[in-house]
Amino acid sequence: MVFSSTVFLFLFLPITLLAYYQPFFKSRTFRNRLLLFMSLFFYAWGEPIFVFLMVFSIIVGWFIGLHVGEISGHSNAVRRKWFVTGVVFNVGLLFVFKYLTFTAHELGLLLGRDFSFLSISLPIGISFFTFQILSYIFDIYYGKASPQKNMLNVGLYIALFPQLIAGPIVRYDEIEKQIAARNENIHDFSDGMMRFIYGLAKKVLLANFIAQIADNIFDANTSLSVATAWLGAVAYTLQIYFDFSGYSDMAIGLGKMFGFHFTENFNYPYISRSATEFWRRWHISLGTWFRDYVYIPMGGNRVSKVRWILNLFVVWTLTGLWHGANWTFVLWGLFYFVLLMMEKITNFPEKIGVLAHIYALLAIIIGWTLFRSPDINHAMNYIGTMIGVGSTGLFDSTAWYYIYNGRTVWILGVILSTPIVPMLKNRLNNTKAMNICEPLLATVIFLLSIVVTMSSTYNPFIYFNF
Amino acid sequence: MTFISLSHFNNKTTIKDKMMIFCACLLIMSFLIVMLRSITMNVIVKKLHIYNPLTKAILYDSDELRELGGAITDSGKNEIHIDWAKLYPFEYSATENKTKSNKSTSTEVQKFNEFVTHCHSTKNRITGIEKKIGDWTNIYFWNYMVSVKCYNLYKKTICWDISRTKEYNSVVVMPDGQLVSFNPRVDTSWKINAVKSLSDKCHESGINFLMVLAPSKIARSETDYAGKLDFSNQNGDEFVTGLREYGVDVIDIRDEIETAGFEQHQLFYKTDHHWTASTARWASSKILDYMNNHYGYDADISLLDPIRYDKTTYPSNFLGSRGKKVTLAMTTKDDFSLYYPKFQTAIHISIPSLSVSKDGDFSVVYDMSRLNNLSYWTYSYGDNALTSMENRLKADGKKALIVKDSFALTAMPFLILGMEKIQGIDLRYFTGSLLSYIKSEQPDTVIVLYNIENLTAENKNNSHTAFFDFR
Repeated sequence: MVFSSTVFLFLFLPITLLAYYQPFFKSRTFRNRLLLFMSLFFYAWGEPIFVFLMVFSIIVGWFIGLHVGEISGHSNAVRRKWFVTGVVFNVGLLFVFKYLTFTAHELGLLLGRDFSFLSISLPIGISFFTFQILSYIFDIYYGKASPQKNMLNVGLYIALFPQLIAGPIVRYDEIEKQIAARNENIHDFSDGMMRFIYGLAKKVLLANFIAQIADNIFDANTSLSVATAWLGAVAYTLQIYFDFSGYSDMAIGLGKMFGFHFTENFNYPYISRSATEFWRRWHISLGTWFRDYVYIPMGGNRVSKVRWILNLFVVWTLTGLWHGANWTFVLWGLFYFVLLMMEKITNFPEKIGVLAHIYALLAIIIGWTLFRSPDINHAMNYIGTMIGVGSTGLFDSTAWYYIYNGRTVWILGVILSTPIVPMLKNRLNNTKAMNICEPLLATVIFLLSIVVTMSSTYNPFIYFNF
Repeated sequence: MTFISLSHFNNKTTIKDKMMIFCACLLIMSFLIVMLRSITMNVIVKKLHIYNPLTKAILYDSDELRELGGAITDSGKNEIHIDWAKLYPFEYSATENKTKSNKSTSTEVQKFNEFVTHCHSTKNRITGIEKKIGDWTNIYFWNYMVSVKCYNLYKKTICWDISRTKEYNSVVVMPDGQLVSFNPRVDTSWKINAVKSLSDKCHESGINFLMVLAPSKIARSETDYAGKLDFSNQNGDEFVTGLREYGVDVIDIRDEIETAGFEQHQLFYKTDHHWTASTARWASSKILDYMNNHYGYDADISLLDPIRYDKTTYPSNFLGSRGKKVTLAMTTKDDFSLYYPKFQTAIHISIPSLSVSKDGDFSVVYDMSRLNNLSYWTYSYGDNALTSMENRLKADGKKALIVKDSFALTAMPFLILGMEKIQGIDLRYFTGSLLSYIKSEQPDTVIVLYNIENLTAENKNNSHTAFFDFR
């Protein structure tokens, strides 16, 4: 189920809100059980078979959690064994369902054998919930959190519907206390609702519109002009930002409506001055996950230079692979590895002033082109067209068509991907006009988003595949 | 939100709080409306057959619901289910049988395959239910069509006129107001092979074969669109070239239009993807002319001269498929015309799935009940698995079978004027074997009349309802 669908907006969310805030059963236990039940239903709506896989992995995660904590009474060696078992199980599960088909295909090409019988469907959101289970095991093993004796509470942490299928990746130590005790109140509820509205608008009023340009151009199967190729790449750059940050906004907003406080996942990544800064602003929960659970345990930067480079290489290869089983994602991850290494060694973005913004944007756009392409060959051809190799010229009527007929969305997209609106908001903060205008505007945006959600049919979230 | 516990909401509320609670309440109200209307329709009216003033008031927009698929009574109420596969069975090829027997030898593999198939079918069943519920949340929403109009008005306000090429029936408004869809570039080779194979089989049985490719709205000369945003002409060129290389007879109506010097947009309804009846009559004359010259038919082409018809026009009557998509917020209705020959005609029309069997003059080809709803379907009673027409005044024994899409609905009434019998088979609805049907009917000519946009049609594996599944 996607948030920007009428099933979610007109059935699932109202039922959940009504059941959660009904006046008869108000205990924390009841509300947590209710959220867990609704979350499993939410997942089962799109994955009626794989919901059992998720439940199984929750049970295994909970069971292992009981044995890796210090309070389990096990020796460190035994705890370590349980810890390794938990990591191997979850990484193995992710490998089987996400990477086995790809690996078999590549091996088949290498060995000249046909492994096409190994074709396994990808369960929605498996990367997200597996990483959350791993976070649970890591946090308990490293003593940051206590194991949950109640399996249903682990289930709620993993399956909580706002963040289940496309993040943010909530870490267990951040949410442990909120499961046991949280304070739902009207201000959080209205903050959450407003955040949800903004997220919904980003998805249905911007991302879905810009997606039409990006899809048409990337899937054109014909030679493009340089301008059209750049338009496609920029359109995808805007699409993926509004799509994914919109989803995160909705997730954070929904969490707040039920009393949960999730960490931020985006901070205007396109105003970055370097690739390093971009990754501090883009998908923050994934970046910090890799930093805390992979990079630092490997020694981080407090090791020899060669080892440090190796650590970064591993982290960025894994970051690329996490996004999908395709060489384009690996290349995308390694592309950032190279950029980050260059930036760390030469520190050149600091030295080129305002040009750093242009450098960062170019790098980001080229990166998204790799990311969007179905294979490396297509990616190289596309990037070639962007620099004039194999293009049909510099500019053509197609480019003008996409600029002219999408002008309002282009302008809105560019403006809203920068922090101009929050800057204006800060200036007007706490003025009477602001206190009235913002909720009114949010209500209008909400009605418009509802109308567009109901009337358009295109709604798949890009990040479901990851 | 009076029914929600407000014990947590005891702090001083701000305007923002109130507005956001209002938004949440709107969602809850929407839920209640959707539930009320869907239960009224699907339980009280459809199951309990209670259709009184109260249920009528709840389903006040039942006409719109009918178009959206939530009809109180199904639109195809008179439709009879015919098991075409039983009447015209498929013949398995030796290869297919061999594959089947190989599969049956390995029981473990078979069991695994059955398990996987079972999982898939369970998932598909559940997905089907989910889709139905999803559709209900749209169509049973209060004033859904108003919402669709608002959406199109919003697109107009933000000057958005781009459509997703790969989305079915996604619409762009051209500068002259014509509603068009852009089609992606596709590989037509398997379609070429399918047509070639059908042509060969017809020739083996001594039957003529003719492929007729009807155009889309965008002409090859519109170079700002053709080959840049819309690839239907490129697909068509590749398809026609491929067939001609194989020696298959083809009439590419685009060539005829270019020769005649017509302005292509004017040959279509503004709000629809179909050509007008007038265009269909002109195209029919070209087809009959070709059949006269190549297959020994004796059709009187002058009978298709426009001056030999009276025209009844229904102004602002027809909102076509693309018009419905963008709603009247972005377009206006087309005029719709019916043609009546000034000369004597005697036609018999028969449509088994609708239990239609009528004799009379030319007007028997019109289903007047469609005129104010699906106007285009007035011609030939719309798309059906099998439509037969006989010309009682023509006893030359010439028969043709048209494997058709909806473009043939307006062409068949004019084509029948040039021969004794014509049958139209629509493979989307005809679930039997086309080859068995041809074998049984032995027409003189098999014509495949498809419009160029169908070249983007997908191969629906073994569903026997695909345009190019000529088995």
